[in-house]
Amino acid sequence: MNTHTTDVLVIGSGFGGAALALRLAEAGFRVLVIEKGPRIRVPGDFMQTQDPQYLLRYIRSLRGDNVNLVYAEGLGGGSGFYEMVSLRAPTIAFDQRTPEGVRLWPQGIDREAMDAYYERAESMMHVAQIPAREVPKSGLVFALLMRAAGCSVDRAPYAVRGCVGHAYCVAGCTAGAKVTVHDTYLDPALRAGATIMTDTEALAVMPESGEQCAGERNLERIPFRYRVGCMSGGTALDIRAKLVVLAGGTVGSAGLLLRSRKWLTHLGPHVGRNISVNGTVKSLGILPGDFPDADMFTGRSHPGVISYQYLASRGITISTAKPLPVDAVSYANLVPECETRSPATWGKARVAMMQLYRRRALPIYALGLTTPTVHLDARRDGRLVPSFRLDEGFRAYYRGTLDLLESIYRRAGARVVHIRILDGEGSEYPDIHVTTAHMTGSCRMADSPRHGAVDATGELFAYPGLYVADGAAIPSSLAVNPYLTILANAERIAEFMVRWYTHREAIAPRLPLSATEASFSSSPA
Amino acid sequence: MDLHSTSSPAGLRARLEALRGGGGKLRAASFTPQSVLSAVRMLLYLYPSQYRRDPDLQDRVLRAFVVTVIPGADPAEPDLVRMYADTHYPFYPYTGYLVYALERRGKRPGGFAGLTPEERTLAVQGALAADDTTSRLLKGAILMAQVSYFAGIYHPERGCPLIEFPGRNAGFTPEEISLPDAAAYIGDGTTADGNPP
Repeated sequence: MNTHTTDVLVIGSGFGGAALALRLAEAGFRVLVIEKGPRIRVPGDFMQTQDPQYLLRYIRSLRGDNVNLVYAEGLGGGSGFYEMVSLRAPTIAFDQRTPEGVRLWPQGIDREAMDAYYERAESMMHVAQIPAREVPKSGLVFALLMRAAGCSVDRAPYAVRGCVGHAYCVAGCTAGAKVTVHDTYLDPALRAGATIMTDTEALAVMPESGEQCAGERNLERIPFRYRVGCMSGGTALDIRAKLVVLAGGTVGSAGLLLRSRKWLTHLGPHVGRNISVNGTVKSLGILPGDFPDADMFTGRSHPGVISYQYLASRGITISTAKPLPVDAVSYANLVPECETRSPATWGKARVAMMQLYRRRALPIYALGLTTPTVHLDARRDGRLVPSFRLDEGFRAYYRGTLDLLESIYRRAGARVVHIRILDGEGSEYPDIHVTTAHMTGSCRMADSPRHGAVDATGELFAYPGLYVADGAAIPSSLAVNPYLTILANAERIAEFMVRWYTHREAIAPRLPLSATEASFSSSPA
Repeated sequence: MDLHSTSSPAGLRARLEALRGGGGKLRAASFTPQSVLSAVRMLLYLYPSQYRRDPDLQDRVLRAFVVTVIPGADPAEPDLVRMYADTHYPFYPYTGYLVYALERRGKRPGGFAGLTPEERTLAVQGALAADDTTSRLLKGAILMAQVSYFAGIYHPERGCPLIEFPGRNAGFTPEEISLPDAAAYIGDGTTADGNPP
């Protein structure tokens, strides 16, 4: 059995893990990052193809009744495949509450407090608002559609440098224009002394026997209090660490903790629970004759603009997208309303729909502040299964939002296309089915273990030195693409950990002390 | 599977493996007698072996199937039906049964491929309306045809000309990506930097 020891073990190399790796390595900690997926050289390993064999090398999905959770496994995590749109969560996202009236976000964490960390993340990711002249045709046509419905739009900010518009963003940018964590966080982490191992899967986290040293700030006095059993390239590996940061994503981090329950016997009931799907509702229309052509196959895949028209009234943002043919065809049957040809989903009708797709079809989708309604169960064989509680509240939200999106099409004279989502075998789901890569909350932050899995610093209740720093910790839907919030929160957690374990004062604006920090703030170094 | 292969140990092992692997399909199928019968036939290869073993027959029937599902696809395209034999996808063990199910509906000399396009469409619709097992098989076959063809998965450099999908590219000019006077489409916006309030 190979055994490694390290000060800090970071599990996962996406937005959350990369930030922790860099900041802790810069602070002088011995940092080991393990990544379940393969090494990815950017941009050399990316390909302009829709071959599922390539896509499935990195993209995973966890399918349950009514829900499909999509995520990436590979060095850099989702940063290789995201759509680069870089939005701060709206203020109202931080004010969401449980049905019992408890605020979802911990006290002191709101948009204003997060802005300093958003700035840091935006600087690292070279985020800039897209100039109007670079907004792709589909974005401009979306703007026209929205304004015809009396809605404003804004140019969105992106993490892109030198986009050439080849439209394969979600397969990985072969032009190297997409900003990923590889050169912004991971390479600097390596230069600061971190070690990264890919093709290394964490199987279980086990606390070592002995004093757990809760509240201890001196890293030298902290023992190697966690042992993480791993499989690396087919070889068993044990890693002993003083601090462990889980950053495997909403699915990965919760899955690891659930599989470790046998050893983490004080793991609270919120692990694997409270997952938000960011209120994803998708629609499609065919443009009226007096609209200019859109274009699904040129320009960046998230085409430049977003509408906040309904954010205050309904808690939703609205934007458009440009799925490539493999997504359009494998995801759903697309049937224009009033389609009379039979069959409607293959044959001449389907070819006609796909021939309209490039220039006359325009998807619009909403993201919204929906309550957490998904949970993960770990079966005996280790498989994770998501369950989506389709309660009346979500159904009403879904139906109302879809009606709104369809009304936007109709007001402009566009024809609605019914989206009938398919399972993996080509049969249509009979009920609401949500596919999302925006899931958050499976190990959510909270002020107490009654309401969440980790505290405001990302530390697991009852397990000192065990942290969650990825989308799993984000306690709510955000109504915008979540990566920037995940990254900003990871920067915030990293700042706390550096300050706590090196006794340094914060450089950035301080958050209110957690109970742990407050009780030790006057302790001698 | 013809009756002669029943007694072959290798054949029996293969059939048992197919049955285990296809157990999910059996469980997922509705348990009408016809559906179960179709599933058993499919998984244990209980249909004439030429549908599984004759590559020319398979090629002829499957090409006719794909151009029925995707009118306008070139029937002579070399990789038109490649996905049905591609071992990277889970469909290939059932391809023989697909050919059998289609050929049964070609009730004249020339079989399924000898039908007119309208007759082939009706034949496919008939298979979709048959028992649950056959219906699911056909839906999967249609999905595979559409994904393979429209996404150009075997020809990423070419894409799919039928739907103007260009495939692999070196990027596009600003004029190709955007429209003149783009700012006029967007208007003033409501935020200073594009972020929500």
